[in-house]
Amino acid sequence: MRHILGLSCLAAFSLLLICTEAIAIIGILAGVNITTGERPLRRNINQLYVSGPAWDLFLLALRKFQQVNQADPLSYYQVAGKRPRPVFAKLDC
Amino acid sequence: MTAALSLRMPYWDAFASPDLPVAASVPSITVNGPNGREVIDNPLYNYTFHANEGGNPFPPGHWVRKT
Repeated sequence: MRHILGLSCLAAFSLLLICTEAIAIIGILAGVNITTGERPLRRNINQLYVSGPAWDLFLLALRKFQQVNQADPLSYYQVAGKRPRPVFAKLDC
Repeated sequence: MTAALSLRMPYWDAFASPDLPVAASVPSITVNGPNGREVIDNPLYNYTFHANEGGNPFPPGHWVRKT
């Protein structure tokens, strides 16, 4: 099953698996064709750059994502920090 | 609205375009926001750590914006 981590500021159903509470990664459900299960493609950033509204949304969403409090497990700081080692004290399993 | 539904994380094909994308190389960028065009700090350019949040020991007020 493909897992897609996205930045859409609309219905983002993506969650994270961490030690204190399990959060399942299920990917974004917005924009998925209900009948065929077809998902939107990821685009090349150089093409997204010139594509207008999608690009603006992406940047604004990313900026908002970076502003989320770093104590929040779904913040940019913690999501970007996901790695096997080293782990932060609070997430130590 | 349809753009929001089909928005996904973009990729950078480093073999097809070896140069760092323009989008990630400028410190400020102009975006069409809810209030019209505005110039914002480019989130792809750098990330500024928040001091004293999430248990990190970053001191406030000592961070100079670096690339």
